[in-house]
Amino acid sequence: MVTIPLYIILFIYFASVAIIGIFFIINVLHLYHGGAFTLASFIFTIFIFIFTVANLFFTYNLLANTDWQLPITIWNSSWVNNTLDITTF
Amino acid sequence: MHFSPLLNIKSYEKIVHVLRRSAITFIPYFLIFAILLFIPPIGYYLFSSAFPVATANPVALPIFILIGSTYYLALGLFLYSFFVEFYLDSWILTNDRLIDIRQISLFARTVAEVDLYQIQDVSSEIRGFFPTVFNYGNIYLQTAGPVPKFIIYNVHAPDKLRQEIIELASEDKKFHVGK
Repeated sequence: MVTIPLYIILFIYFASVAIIGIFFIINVLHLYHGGAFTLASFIFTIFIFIFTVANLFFTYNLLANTDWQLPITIWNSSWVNNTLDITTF
Repeated sequence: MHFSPLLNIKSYEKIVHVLRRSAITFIPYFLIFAILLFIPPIGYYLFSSAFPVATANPVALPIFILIGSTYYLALGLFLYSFFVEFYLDSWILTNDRLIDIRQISLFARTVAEVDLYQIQDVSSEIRGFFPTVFNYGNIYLQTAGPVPKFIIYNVHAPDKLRQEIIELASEDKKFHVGK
């Protein structure tokens, strides 16, 4: 049986948040360098920023009491053994 | 507002209009965004109904929350990227030329320009229910320059703008004939 702790999934999540954050900054820089930083684009940027912060806030609140040391089974040989076991058919 | 990296405004040049697609044409993106917001709760409901044992596992809920959170972050990013592409598509009309800035994707942009005196024909088109109601449409410019045809897409009040371009082009022609 192969298990990994739950916090590995959290690290993958942090990596995806970092990538999304980098693309967000690239978009803001595009607007700025393209001479398109107007009131409309500023309001839209704030809207997306609030949406993102609210998302991170709710995620944090929902996961506040999680035990990150819990193991996740990613491979268990009994899955294959049970599948190939003729008595289970 | 600065356009310096793209334009190089001449000393005698004056910006008459900065044109962008009508805001109405961005509403479909918002509707798709609103529909996609409902996918994670619906997906969780269906999954927990189909596999109640799997969702009862204490590690299942944190994983679902992290996947859902990543989905919403990505959704926000995609909407913002669409907005940036939409908003960076612009046409700058000066008393001397028309500059077409086309943002094809996040990392691809084309910039083309035509001198107003090279414009041979200008036509506007409003086609469809929503364009007629909200008064937006395309303007087609036939030119004698290296870019034979310019299209200004989904701009607000295209008929009025066509008239303005014709007047500016005729003023510019007077200046170039006199040279």
